[in-house]
Amino acid sequence: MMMKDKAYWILTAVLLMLGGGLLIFSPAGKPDEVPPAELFRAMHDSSRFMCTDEVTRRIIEEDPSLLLIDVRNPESYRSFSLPGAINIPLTDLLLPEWGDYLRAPGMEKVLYSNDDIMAGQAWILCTRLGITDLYIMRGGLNLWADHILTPEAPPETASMELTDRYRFRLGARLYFTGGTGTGVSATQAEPIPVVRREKKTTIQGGC
Amino acid sequence: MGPLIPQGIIDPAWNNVFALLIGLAFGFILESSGFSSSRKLAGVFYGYDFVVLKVFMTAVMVCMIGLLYFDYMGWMKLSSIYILPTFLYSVIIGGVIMGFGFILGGYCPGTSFCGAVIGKIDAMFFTVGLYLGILFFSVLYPVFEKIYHAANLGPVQVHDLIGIPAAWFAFAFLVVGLIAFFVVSKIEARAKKIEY
Amino acid sequence: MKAPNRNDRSTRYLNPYLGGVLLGLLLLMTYFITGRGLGASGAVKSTVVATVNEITPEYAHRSNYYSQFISDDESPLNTWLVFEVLGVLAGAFLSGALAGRLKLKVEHSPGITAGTRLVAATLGGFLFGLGSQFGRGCTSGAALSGSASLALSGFLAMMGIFGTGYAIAWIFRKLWV
Repeated sequence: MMMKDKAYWILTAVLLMLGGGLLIFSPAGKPDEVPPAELFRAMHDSSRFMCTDEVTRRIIEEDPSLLLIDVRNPESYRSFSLPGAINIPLTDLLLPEWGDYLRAPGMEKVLYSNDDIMAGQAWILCTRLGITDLYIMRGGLNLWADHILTPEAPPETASMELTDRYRFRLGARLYFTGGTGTGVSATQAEPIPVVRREKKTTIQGGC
Repeated sequence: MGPLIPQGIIDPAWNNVFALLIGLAFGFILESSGFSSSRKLAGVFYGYDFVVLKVFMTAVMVCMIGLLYFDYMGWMKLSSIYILPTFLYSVIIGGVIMGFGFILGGYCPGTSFCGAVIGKIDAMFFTVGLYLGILFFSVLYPVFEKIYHAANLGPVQVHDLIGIPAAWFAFAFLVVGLIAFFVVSKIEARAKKIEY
Repeated sequence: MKAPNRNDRSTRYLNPYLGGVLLGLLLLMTYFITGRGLGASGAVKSTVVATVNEITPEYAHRSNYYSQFISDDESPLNTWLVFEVLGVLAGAFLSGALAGRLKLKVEHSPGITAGTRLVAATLGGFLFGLGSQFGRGCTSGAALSGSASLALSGFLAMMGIFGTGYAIAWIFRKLWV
């Protein structure tokens, strides 16, 4: 008889327990989101910034784990952007199609805009969505242009460190401007082709 | 973290090895549950053997709950796995045709492989039929193409459609399924015994 | 379990709930490792594509359908599902051998002849193959994996298959009981 069907009753008990557990643990919750307290802590952690020199060095070294994301509008992106950067306008940031880029494992995503503001907004949105390895290029493109395209010579008495940094920036300027000397304005720079990476893996299914 | 291969945690070169191993377990479970016998399978439609319903629904429940726990624990997000997209007309037409195929043939593709490999000649014929059916579809694809792609709702999930949390849906599904098991066992006990 | 002669090893099967739990765990593991579910009819599709591509490569490349699955550097048979189905064959054979079920026979209800059964089986296979293409998967790929991942299409396929089955079972009862 049915009552003797032990397997059925064991299954029922275990499944109802597990199912009930689900109801208790995750009712209407959105476990994808980072709780405010954690977000607050992350926002005051200065390690979310990456300095312009660091970004520049990694562009020159063609670091494969660097993913530059330009969050400005497409027009600004077309007129000038950093080499290899992809364009995800802040207004489109939440579109699902960008998930593959933003969640790409092992990539350090560096957001930038003209200054810190838009990139900062994008950073908060993405962090809230639980995306990690996310940085902001401190000072944005404006500071980058100041530092790299028009580096300021340190005084004679400057420390070795400052002098080295100046040399590095001079070298980088050559790299970015193709050695045409000073005063390269952003608009003259070659248009950089939009790099759209292939999705890392497409999950296929069905039969 | 998961799924392991798409996230690059396991090298994609292992993909086919896992396919073989997973298939091995799949075939073993199907066959030892009795899915290699068409008369046992067809019992679900005539009330003398509900093994299909029991195995199938239990598997769906277990996996569904497992996926939700994985999602909750953050081991594998539900959004990171393949969700079959819904092409409304196509899937309904397909389901109805497959229903006819099931009643006539007594197998579905996976179970027919199991039957064929242990020597069921009817299962072998079924797989030949499968081949011909798919060939038929592929040759006439230009005719079917429009309806095949019509009413694309995307990878939509039931709980989104109804607008309730996934856990609620899963729990309701569980309760319905478990009650169904109880009821069909009663029917099974009463049904005329069939020898096969 | 309700098999008539309980002493015969070959009619002893796994408890259906145990089988279901194992299958569910396997499916869960498959999702965790590969991000996708189980399947079966896809392997037959790959075989169809491979043979058509072998016989008339030109037609295959021209066709909207076949060209989706053909690449120049890889055989259409080199897909996950083909390997999975090879595993299924091995696994089912192993299970059948262990239980003493390896026997060449046409299984049919006493009310019909073996010939009728074979015709019905072929026709059923044909329809299942056709339907699986519309459904973008069969019982394993669409109904089982789809429903487990809460996909709407999975539930629709499941209801389609079993709903139609019940609706027409009476008409075809001669085949089975």
